Amino acid sequence: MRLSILGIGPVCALGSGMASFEAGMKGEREPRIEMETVESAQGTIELPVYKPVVERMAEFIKPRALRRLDDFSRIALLSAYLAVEDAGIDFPDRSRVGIIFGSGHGPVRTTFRFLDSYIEDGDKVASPMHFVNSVHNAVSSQTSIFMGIQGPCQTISCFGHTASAVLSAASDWLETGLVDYVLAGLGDEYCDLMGYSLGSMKAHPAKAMHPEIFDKCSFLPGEGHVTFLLGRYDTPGRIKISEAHLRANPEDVPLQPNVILAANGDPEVGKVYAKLAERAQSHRINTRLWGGSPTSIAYDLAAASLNIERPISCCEACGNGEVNVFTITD
Amino acid sequence: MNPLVTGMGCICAAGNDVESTVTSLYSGVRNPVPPSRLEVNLDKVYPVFEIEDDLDDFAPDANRTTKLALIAAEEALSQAGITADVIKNKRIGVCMGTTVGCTLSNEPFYRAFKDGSKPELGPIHRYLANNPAEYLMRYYGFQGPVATIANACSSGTDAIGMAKGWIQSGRCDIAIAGGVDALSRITYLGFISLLITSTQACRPFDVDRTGLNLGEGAGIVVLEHSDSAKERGVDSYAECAGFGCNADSYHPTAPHPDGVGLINAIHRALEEAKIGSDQIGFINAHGTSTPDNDKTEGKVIAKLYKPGIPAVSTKAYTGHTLGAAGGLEAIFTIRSLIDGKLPATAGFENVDPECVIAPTTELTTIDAEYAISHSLAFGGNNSALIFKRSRS
Amino acid sequence: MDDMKELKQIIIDDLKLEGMEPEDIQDDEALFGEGLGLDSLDAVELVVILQKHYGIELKDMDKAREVFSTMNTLAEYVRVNRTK
Repeated sequence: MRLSILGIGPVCALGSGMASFEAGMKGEREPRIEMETVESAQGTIELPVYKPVVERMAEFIKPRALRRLDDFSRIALLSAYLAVEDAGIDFPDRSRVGIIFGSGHGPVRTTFRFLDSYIEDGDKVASPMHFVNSVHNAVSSQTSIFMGIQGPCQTISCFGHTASAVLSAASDWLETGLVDYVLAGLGDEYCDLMGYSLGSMKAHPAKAMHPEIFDKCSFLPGEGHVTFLLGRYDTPGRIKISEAHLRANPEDVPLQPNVILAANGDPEVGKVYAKLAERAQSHRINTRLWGGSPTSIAYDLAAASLNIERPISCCEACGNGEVNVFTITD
Repeated sequence: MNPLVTGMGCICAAGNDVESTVTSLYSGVRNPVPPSRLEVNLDKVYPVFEIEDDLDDFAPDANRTTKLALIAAEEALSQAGITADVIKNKRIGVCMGTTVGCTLSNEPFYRAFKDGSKPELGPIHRYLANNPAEYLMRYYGFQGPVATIANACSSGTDAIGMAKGWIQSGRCDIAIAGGVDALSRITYLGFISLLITSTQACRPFDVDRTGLNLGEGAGIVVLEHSDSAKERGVDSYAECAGFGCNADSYHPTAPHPDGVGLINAIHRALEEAKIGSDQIGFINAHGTSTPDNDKTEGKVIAKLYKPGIPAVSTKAYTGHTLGAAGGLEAIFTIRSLIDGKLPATAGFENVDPECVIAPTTELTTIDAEYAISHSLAFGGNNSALIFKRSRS
Repeated sequence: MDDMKELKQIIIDDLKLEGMEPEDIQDDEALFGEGLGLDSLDAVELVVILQKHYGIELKDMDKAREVFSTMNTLAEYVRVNRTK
């Protein structure tokens, strides 16, 4: 995998766009965390959830044009516009731009809104609008519609393998000359059922995330989206992904001395991160700034573009005790 | 280098494996029925193409969608001679298209949650264990890349296209690729709410078509690098010669009236295959039998290919299997190349002047080296796959 | 609230016509294309709206096109056919 990251559009608990994101990384902005009241199997609990701070939407899209878009698509679309703005690029040929979005769980709130439409009012009045938005590829197709992009348009949903599959495909498209740019987005959202499930698991939800303690359960869900505007490896940009080791063994995967770990307070994957932390000279964990999700590595990639020593390895546990490691260089 | 197709496996309403399915298609038999597993409260019956077997005794930790994927994968792997040894020694990737297979949407569980009865978390764990590509990866112990494509109705075609890219870029030697979807109340009620589902058996491209019928199934091919196939000494059915996918950038549900994205996708696939459109011998059309799809697709076929090119919609036999459609139709395309015959498009009688074309009306003898399969999806994604015959 | 105003409010809410008030929709303005700017996806949602709020079944899209031409034609159809 060889990619140049030309622009980044984060929309998360730290805010919308790289300026807010950087301020959050420096400790100048606190993440937006809201308490959700969850009626779990263990009784009523308060679950802190990282919610995106959606700013600057009106600069890119008229409110009326957004009327049919659900929150998931709106946030993703905003992040796509922010990525393009960050790169400062005006696409000369929109048929040579690809779109690929990935999500661990997809637009879950809208899926349940569609179920609500017929559970509450009967099968005969299932809402077509909610159905259309609940389809996983609503995000990529709305982006193609709003931005006038007619290149390849794909959507991936594969839990811990989502980010790696999205970036691999983008790399293939660019290396083979299929397109000149790729908008690659990654994001997830929170829903009540997720809160119920987290709250009903054996361990009580934590009051705050402590992902640096690998064997303690402190997972809290985070919502948001990051879009990367990607170009061919030799194109000057913010940073480059110079190689990736996918589905690797944490015991022997090649690591840079400095690593970023997408640890998220889930002790199951904490074991994997502990192995990596032990092997690295120094490691940092940022997840308490945006919360946990299957695609949270995207925020770490954004963080790797800021003022830190590179090369650096961005690592995510992808399931089955395996890791994906992305090497970030200047 | 074009990846080779060294194995194929499928299950759908028309048959439990590739041989029985194509036999049904060639004989023109189809069997749309009222849905037996979906309890719905509607005034009308919308028939579906469902698989009879409940599959209860099979892979108990898998949901119905994953079970279908497993059945097709077993057949495809066995045809390709992929044993435990091969799995150990080769990098094998898995890329599956689906719509409901990766969705957190267990309705009984959600209803119980909604009414406050605090259900057990079994369905959540099941959801987390049943992402189609990830499930197959774990089940067989494949060591290569993994992706589940959720690109609506073109997902199966897109999965094969992506796997083709993986082999060409060296990410893996072999890839298991295709699509899967089981019937579900979500897609059933969703497609009915859009008023594009028919109360009769579907009639692709017919002037009196009134919509699609949903179906369920799985279609999986084994794509393999030619070096790997040579080393293993296995024959191939076809070459996966070209893939293209392009967005319409037009509307969330309606295709671009001029088929802009479909035309671009076909051109890209032809470019990859290094052939002209006149070398395409026949078309496995998307042919959903909805008014909009068939009109757009028919016009594009008439405009782009040689006059009178044979085109079939095999959805007349499988229903619209959504994420599985591209996988199944890739297999039907390859079998027609090899068998030298194309099924009749059941249900089609009269040409719609707006669709321009007439699909096959009887079992048609063909002699083609290349064929193409089209897929059009919600949101305006369009995909096309070209196969080249490598045996007869 | 009069019937017309109520119908307009339902349409604004259910079709998510953000920032609009019932007064902003003219009775004789075309609902689709030029005018209010609704499209085919709104049309199928309108079918559901009629069913849900007024108990009206309208599944024939040719008939629906006629009914949905303006607020006046829609309100008249609702007045004659409503079952709730």
